[in-house]
Amino acid sequence: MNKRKLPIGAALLNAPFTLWIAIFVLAPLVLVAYFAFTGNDGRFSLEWFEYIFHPARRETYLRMFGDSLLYGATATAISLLLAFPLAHFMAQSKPSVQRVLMLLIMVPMWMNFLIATIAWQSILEYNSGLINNLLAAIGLPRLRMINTPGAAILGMVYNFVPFMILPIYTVMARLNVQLVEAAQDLGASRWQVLRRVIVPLSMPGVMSGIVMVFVPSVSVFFINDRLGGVRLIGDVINQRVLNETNLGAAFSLILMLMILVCMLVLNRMGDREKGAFVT
Amino acid sequence: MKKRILALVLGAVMLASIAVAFTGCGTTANDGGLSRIQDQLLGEYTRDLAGTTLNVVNWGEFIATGPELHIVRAFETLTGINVNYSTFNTNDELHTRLTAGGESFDLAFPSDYMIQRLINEGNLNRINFDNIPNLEFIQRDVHGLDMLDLWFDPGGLYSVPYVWGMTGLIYNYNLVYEPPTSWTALWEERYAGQILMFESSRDSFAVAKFILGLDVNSENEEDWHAAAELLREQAPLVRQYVGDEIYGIMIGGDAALGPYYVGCFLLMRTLTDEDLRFVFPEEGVNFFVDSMIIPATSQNQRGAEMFINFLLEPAVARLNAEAVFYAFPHTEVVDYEGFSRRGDPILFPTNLPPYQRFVDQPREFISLRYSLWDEIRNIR
Repeated sequence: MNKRKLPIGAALLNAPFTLWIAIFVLAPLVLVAYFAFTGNDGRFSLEWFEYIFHPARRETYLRMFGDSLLYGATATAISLLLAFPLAHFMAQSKPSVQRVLMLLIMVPMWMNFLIATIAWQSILEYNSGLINNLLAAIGLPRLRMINTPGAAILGMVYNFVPFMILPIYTVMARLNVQLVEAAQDLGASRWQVLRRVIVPLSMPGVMSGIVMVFVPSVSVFFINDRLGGVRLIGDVINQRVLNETNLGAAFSLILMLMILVCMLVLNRMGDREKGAFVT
Repeated sequence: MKKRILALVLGAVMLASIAVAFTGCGTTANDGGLSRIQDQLLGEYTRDLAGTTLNVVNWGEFIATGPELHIVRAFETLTGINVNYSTFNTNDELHTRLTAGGESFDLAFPSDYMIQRLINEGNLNRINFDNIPNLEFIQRDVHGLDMLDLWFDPGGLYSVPYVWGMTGLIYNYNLVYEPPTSWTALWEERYAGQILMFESSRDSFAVAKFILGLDVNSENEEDWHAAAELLREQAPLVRQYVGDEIYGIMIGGDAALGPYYVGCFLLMRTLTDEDLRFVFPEEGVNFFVDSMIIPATSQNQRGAEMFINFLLEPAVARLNAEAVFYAFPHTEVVDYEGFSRRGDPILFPTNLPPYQRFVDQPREFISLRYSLWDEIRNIR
């Protein structure tokens, strides 16, 4: 135990943020849990969980949770594959190029994700879609892209990849160049420099990027409804919460727990990699 | 040098946007077209509520906003009331917004069965019809239905009908093998991947129940399981479950057929070169009424009643009926010689197809329908 007493000034400075956390983070969490464990009669009850895990429904909902995690994990993996080289390239570029690239990454984020998703639908459409019309114009057969899992994952990657690029880039931009030079002086190949120096030192950024993409991808609604095929848990919550708030809260609570478990596992892996876990 | 070019470009953009802003003002009448109809108004519109706010929530594309008449703006100009207008997408969403607190509304436009639920829950105010003399224009006989005494609001104490309509099957003539006449076309293998279906589970289950000849409001669990079984069979063939996104898909020629509401079809048809057609399937359709109601949380009931009366003005209703592609149960619209969709065989069929109406259901059946629907929607 190393309990340090904060000076009064620092405590005061922290007060607004503590208050913010209490009102807008802790209170909603408590409320979600409260609703999830409250029956229609207003008393403590497990009925919503019994409903979800009822033998007649269990399979459906477990598959939805599973699909959501799978889609989210896939979107996160693709985002990482795209973001890491780009962040590396950005960090090595001239400051002016860095600024332009940063702007290009930020601009799509200014657009509301609902509008971006609807735009993707019209790009991927079978008959009227932009891509298929291009393919048809050069004599290639039309592709069925809309309402497939790939389209849903594309939508997630498109919307969330900036959240992967930015933390990795931030870490890489501050990476001590002397460490790279030292490795090179000691005869490391480019691959070895990447593998032994850059990747381990970028892990904090990678880890927070994974969290920032995985969490919204798993719980996102609308994107999959519009672009994908089967229903995922985000849309179930979105729809159920309108009619049966408490059931929606129960779904939400389960989803939060599943994400928490995933994060803990990831954290473990991060520890083993000796990278600090940054959220 | 670079900076100078940048400055020039920015300057040009600013000038252009100012120009656009000014032409914008030039083409839109500030009074919403009130001057065009003001001398035809029958009701008295006092300005004693000027400065108050009226919170209105309606379906999208459900009121005239065109250059001829922008109803909300005209009403604001006439009465000085500030109308805070918003839209909703589903009856369930509206129910939540009306009852959850946080927002308060003075006027809303839900559908029949949802109005019934709101009445039963005590969430509606009785309307003071002394403030709505234009109620006399409401049709008392639409194919045998008294529009002031409807099944969801006996005696018409809480609601004033806005439009009525039916569901049906929209199809792209060039993408179907032959024009469908039955809902079962939505189950045909040869249309796999070209079929759209209602995202609204209430409507989807109704389609299955029409085919099975079951009561859409059945309180027998087996009926719901039977309908679910049929919908399960259909799921692998369905391209997408849709709400209003059906507009874009049908307009683009991206699906062969899908069920939707008659008014949406009529609007859709004006927006595309595709050969879209509509049929009332032989098994039966849903007949619905969307009405105006005043929620119990209303802060401006008299303003809401004034707005209802304004919407029922013959001059307003006629122009509104040109913009909203549904059937207004309003004598001065239906009998008006100049109405462009007068006697339209789809909007005003001489004989109604067989139909069923929705009534509100006990909670456990809503819950059952939702869980069955989740399962169907997760089939690949």
